[in-house]
Parts: sequence; structure tokens; C-alpha cells
Amino acid sequence: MSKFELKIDKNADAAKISIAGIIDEDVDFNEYSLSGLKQMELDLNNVKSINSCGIREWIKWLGSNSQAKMTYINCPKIIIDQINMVDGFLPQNGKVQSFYVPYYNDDSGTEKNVLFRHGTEFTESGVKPPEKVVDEAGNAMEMDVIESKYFKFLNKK
Amino acid sequence: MKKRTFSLKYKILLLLTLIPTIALFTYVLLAMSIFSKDKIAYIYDSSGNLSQALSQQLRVLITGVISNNKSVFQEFVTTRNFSTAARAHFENANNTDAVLAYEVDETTKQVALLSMMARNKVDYDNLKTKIDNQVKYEAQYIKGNQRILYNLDQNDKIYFVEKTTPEAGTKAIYFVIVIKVEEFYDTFSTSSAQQLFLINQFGQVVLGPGQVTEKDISKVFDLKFLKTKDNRFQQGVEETTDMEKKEMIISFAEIGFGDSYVLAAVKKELALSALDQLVKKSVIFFVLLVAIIAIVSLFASGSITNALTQLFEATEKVSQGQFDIQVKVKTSDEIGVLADNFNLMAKEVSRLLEQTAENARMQNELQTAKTVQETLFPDSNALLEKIAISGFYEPASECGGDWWHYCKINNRVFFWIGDATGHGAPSALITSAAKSAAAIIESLDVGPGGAMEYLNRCIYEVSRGRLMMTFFIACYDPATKKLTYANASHESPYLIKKKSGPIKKKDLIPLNDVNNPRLGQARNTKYDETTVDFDYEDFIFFYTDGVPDVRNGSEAAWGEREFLKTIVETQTDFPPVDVFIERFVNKMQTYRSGSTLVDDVTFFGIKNLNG
Repeated sequence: MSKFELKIDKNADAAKISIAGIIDEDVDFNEYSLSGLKQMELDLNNVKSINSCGIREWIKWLGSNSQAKMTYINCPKIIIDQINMVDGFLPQNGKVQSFYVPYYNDDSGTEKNVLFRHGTEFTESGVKPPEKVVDEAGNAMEMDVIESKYFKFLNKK
Repeated sequence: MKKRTFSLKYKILLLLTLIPTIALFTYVLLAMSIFSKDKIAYIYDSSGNLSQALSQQLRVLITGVISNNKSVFQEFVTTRNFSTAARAHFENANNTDAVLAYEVDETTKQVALLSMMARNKVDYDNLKTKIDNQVKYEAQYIKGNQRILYNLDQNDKIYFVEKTTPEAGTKAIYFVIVIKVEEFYDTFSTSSAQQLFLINQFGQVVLGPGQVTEKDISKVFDLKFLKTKDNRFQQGVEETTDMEKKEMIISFAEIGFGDSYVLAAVKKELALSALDQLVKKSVIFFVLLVAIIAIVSLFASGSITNALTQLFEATEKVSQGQFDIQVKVKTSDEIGVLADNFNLMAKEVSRLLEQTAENARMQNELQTAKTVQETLFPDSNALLEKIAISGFYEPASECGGDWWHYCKINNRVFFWIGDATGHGAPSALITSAAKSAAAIIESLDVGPGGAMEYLNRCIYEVSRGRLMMTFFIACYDPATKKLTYANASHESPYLIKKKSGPIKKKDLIPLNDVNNPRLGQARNTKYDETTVDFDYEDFIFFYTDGVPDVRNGSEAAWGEREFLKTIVETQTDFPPVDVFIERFVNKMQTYRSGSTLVDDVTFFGIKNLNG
């Protein structure tokens, strides 16, 4: 995989945008115009990392079309961390449709990312995590985040 | 540097001259040797042919005379007189100048002239004594029918004695036959380049060149073949010397009459004069050619070495530290390419030197900046209003983009921590601006939110949106034991409330009830603030995002899980804050194992000792 990859699938005034790789100061979002779009769905499943310069460029890019409704799907933990920490990383008219929650078994050391989907594992009123998450060996796993911090972004909407 | 001795120019010149000169010299020697041998062979051949031709002509002449007079001799032996017919026959025989008949008593060796036929009788009256003596000599010393040629002092006449065998009781008749050989005389006497001799068996010169007066050939030439008495070669060529010790080439051919020979002698020096001419011309040509080669080589070596000399002088200048030089070589051969490469190298070295100097200057400036930036940070350990403070800071490069601070304003204690976009010198400038702003804010009576707004405006004015800063400001009021804070998108600090028993991850309380945009994102951002209880022995851990991003030797990040786990384990017995920081630093450095930081690392803890 290259360092950064972005694909836009436009359909009239809507677009599905897939982003993969590393978002840093080398990424030039100006190559990808968002003008004219009213609805955007950003699939962030394959974003590997983002640094402070990448965050600056990201906010500037999405701010170029602040009128569009944005939906983040398949957000990995690094994206959720930025949404929680950096005000503006998720625009005012944006919402998270699905995101991953890391689970961990301290005894076996197994890790797993469980996708939380809007309306199923979470709603605007709160989180409804799966009753039980197990690894491939059947060991029970627990959430590998501080819930009050990780799910903080849900309270903003 | 080595001292230059024998110049390359002269080496090339010597090489270019020496090789063709040696080749040319060898060729000339070889050609001369072949030509000399060929010439000598030619001289041998032509000289031999001449002597053979003359000897054959003489043999034909003499044997013709004998044969022609044979009937006359037979008649005379019988009649003891030349008949009229015999005299008429004599008159018709042009080659015979005279025939003298002698009666010889071979016992007593007495001789007596019986008769004579001569074209000019007067001549023979004068020569009679000589001829008589010669006949006596023959009668006395010459056995059998040996025939010996003699010269009659008149040079163009030669003679020999023809003997008859006497009947018992009679005396022998000896005929002296004189032959006029004008043509041969002219040929022999006028020969110059090639001297011709007709010699008899005693080595006496019968006919010879006019300039040679010596009648004994052994006194003229040292001839080996004449020293052999028997079985002499009939013909051949011999190299010998004359009386003046000059080298001679002498060819000889037997006439076939009385062991007489025709010699053709030529001075070797003269015979090989063409060779000498060739040698002289070859030497002139050789010298001329060598001179041309030397001149051409001089230009050739000059064109090569001029470029090399330029390069040499250029390298000397380089060795003296002068790199701004360019060698002007116009050739497009290897030397031209070498000069181009040298120019490129000199240019590149010059550029690198300038870059190195610039880097050194920048390094010095960065070192100065680092020294200055260190003054922006407070002491690592402090106690303000019974709040124990301990912190740690390490930049990823000379200057960092993290900054932390604490201060007391109107009995309240403020805690500041921020992280500029990126790291390095640009980020350090922003932290410097933040520190300056903080120094002013300390004189104002504002809370964390207000302080953040001032700080934001300052950062915005400085960076104009190019650089931003996450920031967290907290303020502890000992009177109320409450902590008020505002957040500009910074990592939320963790509050750990004092409790009995070991603490767990869920005991970490992120201070994230308020959050606003980063500093510098917009000019007039408002920052919310909120308040939490901060009671006796409560602990708060402030940090920047570089801490969980610390890498080990395998480039693996420490990660949030291990980071939080370390906080929990280190704080579980609620140690003094400086002990906590020391433990935390040790654990982090153990994981890091000396690896280079990818981001600045800043953290500090505060513990409330206000019981």
C-alpha cells in the first residue's frame, strides 16, 4: 500500500470517499475538491495514522465545504481519538455512523476490533455494547479503552 | 604532495619519439643488410660474368690461332722452312702478328732461330734477344707441352711457345706465336672502375690496366687461389686487399690455355658506393623523419599534457582549499570528460562546503535556540500552595514544540501544557510565543478559559494559521480545593482520586468535560472552562501525545494500553509525585531502549498535599 490513498466515488452531489494510509504534512488535500457536494460518506477503515500536521490539513480540507453533511464510517481508534481530542476534527454537521472499539484479553493477549454501528451498538442516547465479546479461543474480552474518554464524542451530538 | 620530477609531457614526447625511431632504425638496418647482401651478390655475379666472358673470348682467339697454324707448323717441321703457301697463309691470318721458328737442342738447351714470319720484321729485330731468352728459358725449365702466355712489352701483343716433339736423333722445333690483341688490350688497359688482368701461370701480368705497372700480380693483390699450385678453381670470386690495403672484390676465370686467368678486380668501396649512397640518403631520411615525428609528438604531447597540466594546477588549488575553479578543456575525449567531471566535482565540493558551513551555522543557531528554550521551562520539581509538582521534558530534536509551565497567580496555582504542530525549530518558536504570552497573562486576573483566549490570539497572530498548538490550562484554588480547566484540543489529563487499595484503569478520570479548537485555528475562539474537585492526595497526570508514541528499537509504539497501564502501576501506592515521575521515566526509557524520539515527550504530575 502506498503512503496515502484517497478515492472519491461521486454520484451527483453525493460522494463516497475512501481514505487509506498515513495522513501527515505530505498529504495535499487540495488535489481532491469537495466543492458542490452536499452529502459525503468517508470510509476511514484503512487509515493507519495521523499526526498533528495531518490533522491541520484534514480540518482545512473538510472546512472547504462546511455545508455538506458528512458521515464517518468504519472509524478506527486513531480517528475516534482525534474526534475526541481535536475540536473540529468531526465537523458540526458530521456524524459517526460506525466505529471500531478495541477489545483485549489480558490473559491471552488477544486483541480484537469490534465495529459499533449506529442504531445497533450505539445511539445518540448512549452505547449498547455487545453483551459478550470473545476471542477465537472463546476467551471473554473486555473493552480496551477508557469508556468515559472514548465514547465522549457521542455526547456532543 | 609529491614533488614533480620528470614531466609527463616529456615522458609522452619521449615515448612518441622513441618508439617510431627504434622501429625506423631497425627497419633501416634490416633493409641495409638485405640490400648490402643483395648488392654484393650482384657484384660477385656481374664481375664473375665479365671475367668468364673475357676468358672465353681469349680462349677462342688463342685456340683459333693454333688451329689455324697447325698445318704450317707440320710443314715446317718437315721442311725446316716456311713455304710460300705458309707465308701466304700467315698474311691472311690477321690475328697472328709473327711466327718465329727455333731449333732447340733439348739436351744442351741450345736454341737457334731458323726462320720467322712477321708483319713488321723491324720490330722483331729489336725483340729478338728477349724472345731468344724466353725460348731458352722454356727449353730449360718448361717441361712437355705446357703453354705459357707472355707479353711482348709492346702491350697489345702476347705470345706463347708451341713445342713439337722431335723424332729420334733430331732437334725439337719451338714455334713462338705472337698474337696481336688490340681490342683486348684496349679493354684491359682502359678499365678503370673494374680493373681487368690477364695473368699467366706464374702470376705475371700479360695484359692489365695501364695504371698498373707492376708485372707480378702477387705484388698487386693477395690472391689465395693463386697460392694453390694444383687443382686451382676454374672460376670464382675472392675478397682480398690490394697493396694499399683497400678491400677488393676479385673474380677470376681460367682461360683454358696454360693455366692463364682473367681477373676482374673492383674496389669493394667502389662496388658498394651505391650502398653508401643508400646509407647516406637513408640516414638523411631517417633524421628528417625522426625530426618530423619529434615535432608532431611535441604538438601531440602538448595537446594532451596542456589539459592535464590545467587539471594538475586545478588539483593544487583544490589542495590549497580553493574550490571555486573551473578547468577549461575543450576536447571531448577522455581528458575532456575527466575535466568536466573535475569541474562538477569541484562545484559539488564547493557546494557541499558551503552547505556544511551553513549547516554548522544552523547547528550553532539551533544549539543557541535550545539553550534559550531551556530557559522557558520551569524547575522540574516544585511545591506551590501545597501542590507538589514534578515534570519531565525531552525534545525529539534540538528544539521542541512541547511546553509546560506552572505559576502562582493571586494564591492560585496555574498549570500549563501545550504541544505545537510538529516539532523542531518552527514549533519551538511557537512555544516561545506561548511562554511570552503566559508571562503577560500571569499579570492578569483571568481564569483558564480567559487565559486560553489570550493565548489563542497570540498564537494566531504569530502563526497565521500555519502552525497551531493544542493546549491545556488548569488552575487550582487552595481555598476551594477545586481545579478549573480549559482545553484547546489537547490530550486530556488523568485525574486519580485518592482511594484505598490498588487503583485500576477505570480509576483514571479524563479531564475532558470541555474541549475547544486548537490555539491558532481561529482568532476569536472562545474557550469553555469547567471545575472538578481536587482533594487531598489526589493526583493529576498531564502529558503530550508524544508519550504514548514513544518507540522501541523495533519502531513499535508504546501504545495507549501500556501507557495507561504504566500510570496505573506507578501510581497504585500513591507515591510522592517526584517518585511517580522518576518511576514513570524509568519505565518509559526501559521500553524505549535508547531509540530516537519521533515526537517531543512532556509530562508532569501534580499532587495535592493540602490536607
